[in-house]
Amino acid sequence: MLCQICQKNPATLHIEEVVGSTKTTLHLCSDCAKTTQTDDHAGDNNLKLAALAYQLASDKLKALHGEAGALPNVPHQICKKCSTTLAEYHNTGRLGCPECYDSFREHMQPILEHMHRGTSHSGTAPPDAKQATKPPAPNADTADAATQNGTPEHPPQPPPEPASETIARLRKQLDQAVKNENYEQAAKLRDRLRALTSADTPPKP
Amino acid sequence: MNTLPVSDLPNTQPPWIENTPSANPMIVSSRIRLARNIRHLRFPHKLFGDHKSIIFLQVKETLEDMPEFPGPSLVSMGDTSDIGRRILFERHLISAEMACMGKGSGVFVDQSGLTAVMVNEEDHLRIHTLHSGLDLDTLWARVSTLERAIAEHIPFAYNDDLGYLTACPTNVGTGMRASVMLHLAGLEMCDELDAVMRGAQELGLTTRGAFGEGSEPEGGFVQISNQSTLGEDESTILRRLKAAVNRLTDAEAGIRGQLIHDKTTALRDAVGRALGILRYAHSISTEEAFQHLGTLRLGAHCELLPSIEAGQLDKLLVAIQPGHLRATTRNADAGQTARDNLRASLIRKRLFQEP
Repeated sequence: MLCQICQKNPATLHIEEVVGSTKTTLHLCSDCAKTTQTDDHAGDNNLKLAALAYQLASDKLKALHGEAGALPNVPHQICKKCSTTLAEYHNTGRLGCPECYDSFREHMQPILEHMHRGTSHSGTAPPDAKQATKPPAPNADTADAATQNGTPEHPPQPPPEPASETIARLRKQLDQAVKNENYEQAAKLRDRLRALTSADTPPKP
Repeated sequence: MNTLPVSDLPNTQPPWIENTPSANPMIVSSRIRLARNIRHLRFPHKLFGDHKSIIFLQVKETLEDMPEFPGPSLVSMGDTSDIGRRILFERHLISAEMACMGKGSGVFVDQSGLTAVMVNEEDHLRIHTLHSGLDLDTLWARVSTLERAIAEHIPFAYNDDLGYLTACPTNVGTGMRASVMLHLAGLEMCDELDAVMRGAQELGLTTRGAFGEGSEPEGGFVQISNQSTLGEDESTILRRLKAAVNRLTDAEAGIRGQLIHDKTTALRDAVGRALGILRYAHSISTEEAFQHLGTLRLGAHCELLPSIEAGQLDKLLVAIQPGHLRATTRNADAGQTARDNLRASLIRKRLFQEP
């Protein structure tokens, strides 16, 4: 087992805390246990066993350290996309964005192993995923349209309409605006799209 | 798209309550939900209200005129009263977490009232459907067809290694949580429910009481669901859940068979006491009412209560909950004590025809 701090040396110090039915474990190499804390947390340089045990035993202290991003067993890492820190994840149980899974990949791996029966996905995939979709339904006869998916980028398009090119272009721009989190632009594009598409659709009774 | 008239809902029976005598009395309802997020966007707890509102509108436009989601209506949490939130929660249309959300969050419900899409709860989309009894194949067909139709319009956050990416890693992979509400009052009466629930947990399943996480199995009502969402495909997860449900209901059926055969004093005593309390109580909490109604439900199945049907009790189990109770008795501001009084009165009226 590797040290949870440096992820390089074998862990030789194993600390286990049991509160009620919750067990927390910490595995450290001797170097990290003696001297280090991660990266830039100079205030925690003198990581001593007694202090460590005290920190583990005290939920209040743990919460305080968590806010400062300095839980003893949580490396200081930030998601480049959304700026969520690993400490935030450990406090809230939630990641900030889909890219967090990549940003914290190494850290999340053992967590996922503990939570789930496997660490790689083997279920259905969205229509535009690279891999072929596996048959999703427990009952093949009732399988939905997913099984007909032949990985086209988009479903078959209806015959071209006068405004279809404009709509397609606006949709593309809207996707891009949403992707860039440019919500003001997205709202404007959405309104233009709505005006265009509703003009093409007969009014509802 | 119209707004769902939430305050009218308590006047109708939730569509997931089965009234037919042939229904398996040990299985109340089943539900499957899929957690999905929009590609490249921060998860809802990292978004502000305006950003959430845009997602809400995007989902609204997607669901409008979608054949897989006929007759849609919507509820925006920002415009919904406390009592309205309770009613939606008690009818299993929204989660407890959604009931606490504000502007930019909400739910879309189809005309059947069985399928709904929650927007900006923990994840951007929670697509779910429920049904009376155990029919996970039908539920899966329904929810996956709708999910697939939505995916044609909204790109979901997904990668080949981890599957669908969710705010909480407990849902990553399939994003699927399938749960079954069971009534295991026989096991509870024989003090075997705890052991059975522990066994289910060892099989990788989560068990909860009727009121969700952390609640006790009041009245023998237990929710059982898959814990793991990664590493197995949906059909394997559903198959394992079904196998566990079958084992649990077999154990319950065995005990009920014994109880019916023996007509034990213990059973008659428990049913008689429950009947007595519900008949004469003038103040009763939701939990206590669940406890006794659960016992009556067992008694009805064990042929001790010819005048009471399980369907009637199931309707009452929804009607006595705080939101429905306040709506049907037109006491929107009723506090806890007043509700306990109203609840006792409603039970006496419905079960014992008290005027």
